[in-house]
This record gives sequence, C-alpha cells and structure tokens, in this order.
Amino acid sequence: MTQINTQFYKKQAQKAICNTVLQQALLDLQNRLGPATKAAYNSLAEGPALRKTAHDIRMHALENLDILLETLAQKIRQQGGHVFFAKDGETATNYCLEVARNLNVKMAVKGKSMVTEEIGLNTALMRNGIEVNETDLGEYIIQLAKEGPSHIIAPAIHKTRKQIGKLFSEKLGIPYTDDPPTLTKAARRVLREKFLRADMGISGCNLACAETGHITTVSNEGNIRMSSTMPKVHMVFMGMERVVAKLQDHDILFRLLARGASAQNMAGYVSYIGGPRSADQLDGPDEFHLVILDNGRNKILADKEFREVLTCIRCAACLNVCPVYGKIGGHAYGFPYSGPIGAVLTPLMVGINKAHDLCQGETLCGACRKACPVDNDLPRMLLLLRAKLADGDKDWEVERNNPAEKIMFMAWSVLIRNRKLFDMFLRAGYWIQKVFPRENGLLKKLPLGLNGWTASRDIKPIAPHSFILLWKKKHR
Amino acid sequence: MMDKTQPVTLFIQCLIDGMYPEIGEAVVRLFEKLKIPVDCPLDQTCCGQVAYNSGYQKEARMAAKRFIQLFEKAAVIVCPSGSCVDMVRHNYPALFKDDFPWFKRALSISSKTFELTEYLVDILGIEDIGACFDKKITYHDSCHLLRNLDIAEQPRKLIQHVKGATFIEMKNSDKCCGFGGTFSVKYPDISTAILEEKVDNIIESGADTVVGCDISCLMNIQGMLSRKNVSIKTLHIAQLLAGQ
Amino acid sequence: MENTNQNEFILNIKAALRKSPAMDSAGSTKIFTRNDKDKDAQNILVTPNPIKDRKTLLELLVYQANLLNINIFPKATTRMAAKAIKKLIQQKSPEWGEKKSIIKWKHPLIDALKLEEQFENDDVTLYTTESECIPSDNDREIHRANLIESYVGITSADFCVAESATLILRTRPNQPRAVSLVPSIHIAVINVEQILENLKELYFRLIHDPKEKQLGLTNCMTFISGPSKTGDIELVMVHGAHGPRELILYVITG
Repeated sequence: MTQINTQFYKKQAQKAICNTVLQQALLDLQNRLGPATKAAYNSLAEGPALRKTAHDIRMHALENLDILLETLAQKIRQQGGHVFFAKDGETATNYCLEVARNLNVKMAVKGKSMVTEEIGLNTALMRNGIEVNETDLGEYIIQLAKEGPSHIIAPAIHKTRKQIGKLFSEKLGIPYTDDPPTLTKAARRVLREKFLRADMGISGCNLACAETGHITTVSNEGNIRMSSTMPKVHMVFMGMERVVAKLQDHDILFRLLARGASAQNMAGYVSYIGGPRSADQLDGPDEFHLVILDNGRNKILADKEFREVLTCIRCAACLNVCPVYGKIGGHAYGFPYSGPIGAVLTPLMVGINKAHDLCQGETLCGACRKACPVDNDLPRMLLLLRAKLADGDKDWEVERNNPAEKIMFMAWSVLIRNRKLFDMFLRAGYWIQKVFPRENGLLKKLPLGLNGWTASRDIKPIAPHSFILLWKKKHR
Repeated sequence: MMDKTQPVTLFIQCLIDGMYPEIGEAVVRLFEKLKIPVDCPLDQTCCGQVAYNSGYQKEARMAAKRFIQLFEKAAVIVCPSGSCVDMVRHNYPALFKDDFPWFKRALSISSKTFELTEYLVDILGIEDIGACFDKKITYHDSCHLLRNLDIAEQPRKLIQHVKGATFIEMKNSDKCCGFGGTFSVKYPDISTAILEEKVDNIIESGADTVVGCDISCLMNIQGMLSRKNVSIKTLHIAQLLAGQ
Repeated sequence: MENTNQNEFILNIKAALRKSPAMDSAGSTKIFTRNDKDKDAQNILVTPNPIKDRKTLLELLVYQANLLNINIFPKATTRMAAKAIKKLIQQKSPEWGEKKSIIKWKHPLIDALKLEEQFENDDVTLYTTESECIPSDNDREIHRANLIESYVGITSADFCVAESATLILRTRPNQPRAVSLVPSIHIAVINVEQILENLKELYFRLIHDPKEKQLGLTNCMTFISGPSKTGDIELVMVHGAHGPRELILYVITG
C-alpha cells in the first residue's frame, strides 16, 4: 500500500498539472466520456431514473449482506468451488499463497482487480517467487513501466502512444512503433503465451449473484476470460459488498455499468462463473477459489451515513466528470481508488486524518453525484468527512485536523451573529487592505493564508460601503 | 401562482454585501423596474455556507439559526446567489435533522427562499425584463445552482430576451470553475488549473461578456481574466437585467 | 479453518447491520422473492417469436452488430452458411503459423452445416469437441492442444440479444467455453428464432421460463458483444485484444 499524506497529494497534484501529456489525456477522456455517459443514461428505456432503482437494489443487498454472502458461499461450494472469508489483506494474501504452494504455482496471469491492488497481492506473490503477469493492456503497460494506475478503467491513460512504443521496444525487444493496433498486437502475442502457460488465473468479481451462486467478470479485452478459463486454478478476489441477491438485479446493474464506464450498451464480455469445470466438461479450471474480503468494509457498513459508498460498482463514471481528478489524475490520490469515489473510500479505509487532503481537496461541484449510475451521494459524504476533520470523531478515530482553523471559525461565528461586529470587521478589512498591492482597483497580492488566490488571480477589494450601509443611508 | 406584486425580502449574500454592493443595488433596481416592493433585514450577515462546507457544522448551525430568526416572518425571500439558496433550501433542514422544532422552521424557510432568476421566471412568469445590452454574451452554469437547484433554463431565457445581445453557449458551460469556497485558497494549484480550462472555454466562445448568477464564480473567473489582461468582462445577471 | 473464518466474518456483518447473532440467515428468504409484475409472463414466454417480429428483430440485430464490428450474415439455409464459411476459410489466413485448423462444437445446428463435406478436399483440419461422458485428463489435453492449434472456433449460442448484439453462451458437455475464446476468429451460427429483443427479455426468460430455469446459468455463462477490443492506448479503439480478433455471426433465417 502506498503512503498518503498532504505533501504527497499536493506535490503529486502539482506534478500532474505540469504534465502536458497527462493533461491532454485527461481532457480528452472527460470530453469524450462525460457527455457520452449522460446521453447513454438518457437512452435507457426507463430513463435516468433507473439509477435510483439501482441504488435501492444495492442498498437492499447491503442491508442483507450476511444472508447474501452465506447463500453465495453455500451455492459455490455446492458447485465444487472453495470460498474463503478474509478479514484483511494479509489473511487474503496468505490464503492465496497457500493455495499456490499446494498447487505448485510458478506463474499467474491477472485480470484487472482493484481489490488485489488494495491488498498488494502482486508484491506478496512475487516476494514468494511467483511470476505475476497483468493482462489488461493498460495494467500490462504500467506493470512494464513500474508505475501505478492513473484511472480505474483505463490505467495507462497518462501514457502517449510514443511512450508506450518506446517502452515496448525496450522491454519486448520489438522494433519501435507508435501505432496502437501494432502495439496491441505485440502485447497480444506476449500475453497469449502467458495465458496458455500460466498455472493460476486471478480475477476480481464485478457483481456476484447470491441466488444462483455465481461471480461475474466484465471486460472488453477477453483477458479475464482467458485468465479464468485456461489455467488450472481460478482465484477470485471480491470485496464483500460486491454482491446482489437476484439475477433480475443484474439486468439493471449491468446496463448501467456499461453506460457509466464507457457509454456502451453492454461491455464486450460478461461471464457468470459458478465454480470449477464439472467432471463432464472438456475445459475450464480444475479448481475455483473465491476470496471474500473485508479489509475495512465492515466498519463502513456499520456506519449508516457511509454505508451508501459500498453501493459503488467501480465504473469510474465519477472520474470522467470530476474537475479535480481531471487535473490531478489518479496518482495524486495515492491509493488504487481515485477520483470522487477514492476521495470518500480512501479516507474511510486508510484513515481520515491520513487522507484528509482527498476529501478536502474537492470543489463539491456535484458532477459525480449526477454521473453515478447507482446514484451515490458522494458530496454528502465528503461534507461528512470534513465535519469529522473539523471537530474530531471518536468512532472513526479522527483528530481535529486544524485546531487553528476551528478557532477562526469560532470567531467567525461570533462575528456573523452581530451585525455591528460584522460591520466593524468589514471596516477593519477595508483599511488593512490598503497596504496590499493593487492595480486598476484590484488587489494583486493577499497575505499568507490567502495568497494562494493571488498567485494566479486578482481580487476586488472590500467595498468602502457595504450594501447594507448604503441601504441604510438611502432609506434614512 | 404567487401574488406577483407581493413584496420580496432581500437576502443579499455576504460577498455582495461586503465586496460587490453594486450588484445588490442592481437587484433593487430590477425589482423597482418591476414595481415590486423590496425590504431588507438590516441585521443579516451570512448564511453559514463557508463554515458548513469546511465541516464546521456547529458554527454553521449558529449562522442558520440567526438567519431563520431574521427571515422567517418574510412572505418570500429572494437571493442573487445559487449557492446560498442551496444552503438554505437543502442544508438547513439537514443541519437540524436531530432538532425537530428547528427542523420545522428550517423546512418552512426553505420553501420560500428563491434564487433571483428562479423567482423571476418560475414564480413571476417573467422572461423579458426589457433590458438592453449590445454585446456577445456567454453564460457560466454555477455548480450548486445547476446541480442542486436544477436552475439552467431560467437564466438563459432571461439572457435571450435581452435586446441587442447575442447569446453564445461556451464549451462545457456546466463544468466547475474551480472556486469551491476555501478550496480556492487551500488548493490553489488545482483551483487555478480548473479555472484555466474555464477561462480558455470562455475566450474560445468569442463572447465579450460572461454572465453568471453567482458572484463567487464570477469573482474567480474575473480574477484570472484581469490577471491575464483579457478584456472579457464578467457581469452578474442582476446587473445585466437592471442595466448598469 | 474455512468455517471459523466465515462464522466470525458473518457475525461481524450482523453486528454492523444491528442484527442479533441468533437471527437465522438461511431462513430469511424474503430478499430473494421477486417483485414480479408478471401479468404478461405467459405472453413473453411464447416461443418462437411471430415471423413479423422476427424480421424486425433481425434488422435491429444487424444494425447493432455493425456498430460493434460484428460481421453478421443472414443466410436462408445451413447449406448456404456452410458455403460461406468455406469461402471465409479460404480467404482468411491463420494468425500464427500456416496450418488451417478449425475447432467446432458438437451441436445440432453446427452438425447441420456438414462442414466435413465442405472441407473434404481442402487442406483444413476439423476438430469437433465431442467427448466421453466423463472426459479423461488425456481427452482434456488433446482438446487443449486442438484449441490452441485452431485459428477458427465455431459455436452456436443459447440466445442472441438484438438491442446490444449480444450472444449468450452457456457451457455444456461437448460445448466447451474456450472454443469462442482462444481461436483468432470466432464464428457463431444461430437460428433467427433465437433472437431476443433486449437484455430485459433475456433475464426474464432465464428467470421464468421453466426450460431455462431447469438448465440454469450453468457453471459458465458468457455474454459476447463483439470481438475483443481495447482503448487503453490513448483511448484509440483497437479490435483484437486477447480474445478473438473477429466475430462472424451467421443467422439462419429459413
């Protein structure tokens, strides 16, 4: 897991803002997918109101999570699969290592899975001598480049074709090209060999179905299908909240997922997998293991104000419209979950004080709430996190983030409850500001604490007479 | 339909009160033009939004209580700021959800607090104020106004009825300008980067004036336009409609 | 080990949800009851679709399929489809190597193509995924080798959803899942009656049609809505990622 602290966020943000390649990539991404997703919701037979239905389905599932997970586990075991409940990342990783040891796994192929990044699975496997190959093209690219993902759905969006061309020619020994089809073909060739040789295939789970006992995987590339079909063991990592009760819930959720993620009607490949191959089948894995992970989710579930954040289906629609993410990219968030969902989830998972920049460094513009296919009210939760940082919170072990600021707002609260004091404050401000540099009636530089504004913007000074004063004069 | 000539009580917004009183005066002129009496509680200060958004709910509650006490006798409250109306309409009831008597009072006041363009178009049914402005205008959708209050058509209708004005939609008019309250000074690099894109879109539109309904956004945008020596002017919708 | 982990895990969830530990989970089946507005259930389940509707559905499918880079060819008879497949094989070269091998499902519709006859005089190897009731490890190894060698995989499907041009494939003995995945080219052959209008109808059938309910989803059900693709390099759409590079769909119209 990566380090998260203020300096990291602001520094990474600055770096990202200066990275013209990344800026153009993010702009293109948001210009393309933001409006397209909105149109896609409107194209639903039930209209965008379907999102509220989806929200209710997800909340209902969370409220019955104990029943759903027990049912899911029971069904999968009946179908010959193994199910393991892991309270934290270490437990989950150890289970995977044990299975790998027992089956003499030397090489694994992996579909994109945020949960496995959250628990640092790759590192653990590699430390134990197991070769891990990311197979989602974007993940493969950043694995070669030894970087982290900058977007939930398109992890290598920050890299240009030229950069990828150079990377491939260095690491794969192919002649340099910057043609995406040729580069894709090169990756296809290399990874095909891995798929066919791998001892273990690892995937996440998009949304399990308790009623039928299936996990589901969603992709466009076919890499998850390959990873879950060709190796002799298929290992699935699933955040405990990624389940719904009934098959009929999937109809609505998959339609919304595809629209939220990439403005499509349906993703290229969706697979329902209920366990290993049966005795009468010619192909498919011999063994199937489902690891259901808590790792902080239960605490979120227990808090009714935050429970809603677990309805997320990881489509990244919120990233595609967030003005902050659109400038700072995924790396600044310092954790696999970036964008608005990351701004709420990460503090709840790694510590609210530790990740305070993530929930304070947002404009609360509300675009995420409008874009979310399951109608998640992220701005409400961001405000709640800010309230905990302002006054501290015992349950979530939050310390007051900025005691000086608290004092300032306490003073402010006195000021605004007394018009005379407020007038005095305006008056004082009017006189003090006379020493600030100005030009053409606008202030050019404000003192420390407010100078962030004037680094790039002018500001109008406090007026000589307030509106209320002018009104008083007029109506005397 | 409300009585069209009933007096409105003015909720002026602290930024306009302290920094842009001319906008407040434009609002008054506007209602004078419409022959609607305006009264203004002289003790008003701030709706508390700045504290609320920074997480200081206790302090925000104090501001809310004061506001409710000052304004609850009004028949109708009008404010030339979307974010402030959002604060009263949606966040005041939320602030008092565990305090039933205050919750009731908050609900009552939230039902009669309107943003300026919302009041003109939806309540009074007026789209043509009889204003003139011989320039190319583009419009910035402020976030809370657009997404929390669902106000988008009303300002546009009003602008489009201004004689002599050419209305041009800018690219991504609904994208945030990067103000975000204290965000603009706490995370200035990110705020600036977001604002740069907004300013680029404004310039690209070819307009010479950008109109908005929230002075906080306009202040942010104007700040960069003047720093970059761009001659495009910002104008609050009240100023556009009342004439300067 | 597995069970104690689970017990503790579930108890924690119950605590989070403020449910008493003694509350019987397995008995609470309310969450699984459907809120069906089932008045028209029987109408929806009438098969096959009336001929008038079939034409419209096919048109919709063709339109959507073209948007998704699926090569769709309505053919009046299996014989015509078989001829078209022969022509296709003659035109297309293997992605890797020189040998032209095809792997196909053991399935009534695929059998009806009589592909062995079509390729009688061609230098093309045909593999059919037919196996004993319980295939041996050796059978599986042979199948895997044939799979990897083949550049074309031919399957049918359970359904085809027109609105999103999605093929629904369930896994059965003799109809292994990798045939639609590993070869470079995936050819699917279906009957026009198998076309459904939208995903809603598909899920409805899976849930309510007694025949489908009995089969269930099987242990691997896949939705395929086009050849494999990726936009991971600068959001440029490339067809042919890790799954088949091409998806060719023959619809037997009769």
